[in-house]
Amino acid sequence: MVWILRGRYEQVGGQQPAPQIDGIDQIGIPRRSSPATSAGPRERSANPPRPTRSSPEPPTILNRYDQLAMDSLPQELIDKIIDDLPRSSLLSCSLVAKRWRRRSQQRAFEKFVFSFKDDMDRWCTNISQGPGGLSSYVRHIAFAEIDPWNDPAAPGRVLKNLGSLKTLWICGSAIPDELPAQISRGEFGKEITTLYIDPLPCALAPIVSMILSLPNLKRLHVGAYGTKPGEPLSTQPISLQKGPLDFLEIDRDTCGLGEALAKSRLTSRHLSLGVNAPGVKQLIMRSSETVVGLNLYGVWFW
Amino acid sequence: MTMMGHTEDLPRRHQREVIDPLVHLPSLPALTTLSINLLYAGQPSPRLTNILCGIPRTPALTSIAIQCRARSSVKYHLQGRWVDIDRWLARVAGHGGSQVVLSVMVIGWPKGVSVSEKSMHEFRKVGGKIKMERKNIGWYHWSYPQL
Repeated sequence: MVWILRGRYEQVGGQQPAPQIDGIDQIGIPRRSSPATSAGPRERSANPPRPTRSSPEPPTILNRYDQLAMDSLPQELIDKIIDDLPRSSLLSCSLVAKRWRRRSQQRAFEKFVFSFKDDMDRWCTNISQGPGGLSSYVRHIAFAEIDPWNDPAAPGRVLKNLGSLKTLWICGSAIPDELPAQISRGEFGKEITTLYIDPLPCALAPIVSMILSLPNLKRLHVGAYGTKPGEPLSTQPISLQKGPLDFLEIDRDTCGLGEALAKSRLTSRHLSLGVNAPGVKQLIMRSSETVVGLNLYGVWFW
Repeated sequence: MTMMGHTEDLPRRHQREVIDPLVHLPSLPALTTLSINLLYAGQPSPRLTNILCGIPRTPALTSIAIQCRARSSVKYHLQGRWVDIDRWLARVAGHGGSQVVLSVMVIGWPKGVSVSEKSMHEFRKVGGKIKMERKNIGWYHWSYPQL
């Protein structure tokens, strides 16, 4: 920005430019060596292209000055501009210039919500192309209200190449039987730090197994949990041991997920518990040495 | 003292009303903040009272926040089971090394209902500090991650 303002100032007869090192401008940004940018700022300000009434310049094309100024913007400033743009502008923004592409794509592909199986098919066909690339920008994934899963392997295919995934949401969807098993086997999910599950009724043991298999899990939110009709409520304690979570929330648990987690020696520094959950006391007891913050909530009939 | 521990410290009303078996929880030595959110409830449920009164000691506790959102069909007063909570607060505040600040926010309560002067007097006796706040309407602060 300093360079831009100084260039404008010189255009109207301002100070002499400071001595420059060849190839480096006044604020240390390497200049491009193309013929259009090889001239110094003094020479550039000599004949600035000015629109006239007889030959109006199209407003969509940057004039030479503006183009030079854009090329000289520090990458941090470009990133800041892109960070403040609405998500709807990001894909267009990624086509502006090479220096705009990476940050725009990082933000555009940061969060994805899959509500239909077709979304996952398109993702696997067009986006997910092995480690790296666009799939490496994805930080948060949600599977929302997908029921039934016609292809239970689809979420596994989506998650397979997401090496930077931090947050996984499963809301209003059943949890496919294959998914906990794949996570338990370590096929993916190693980088997940936040898990939010508000699933449709499903079996208890695979969910506990999935939770305990995420090695870097720090925050666990359980919205409402219930088992399928006829599903046995009890589960065998799982012998896996994890370090304390940062945050554990169980809202409405009627089928013993809290108890199962307590039996599995899961602890947390912050607990947020609906008091109707059967495992509230067990979770508090289990985390008695580590808990720093405790939130208890309930409605009138709890 | 009974086999279960500090039963004589627990409120009688609490012992009468609770349905769950009384489980004595361990002390929470690292606990610094406690928040209680009651949705559409004028007073804590027996279950919540049971859980809180089962915690014997919280030596590091310095901040307690109670949010109580009521509706027209509940009784608006800090009496009833609040008395049990008051006694428990007085106990943990008396055992702690630092002053405990209690913040009570009532949401949607009628203007004529007084909640500030006559409530939590046991807690006040042991030096607890109370901040009362009233809101006409509001929502709880949920901590779900935003996608």
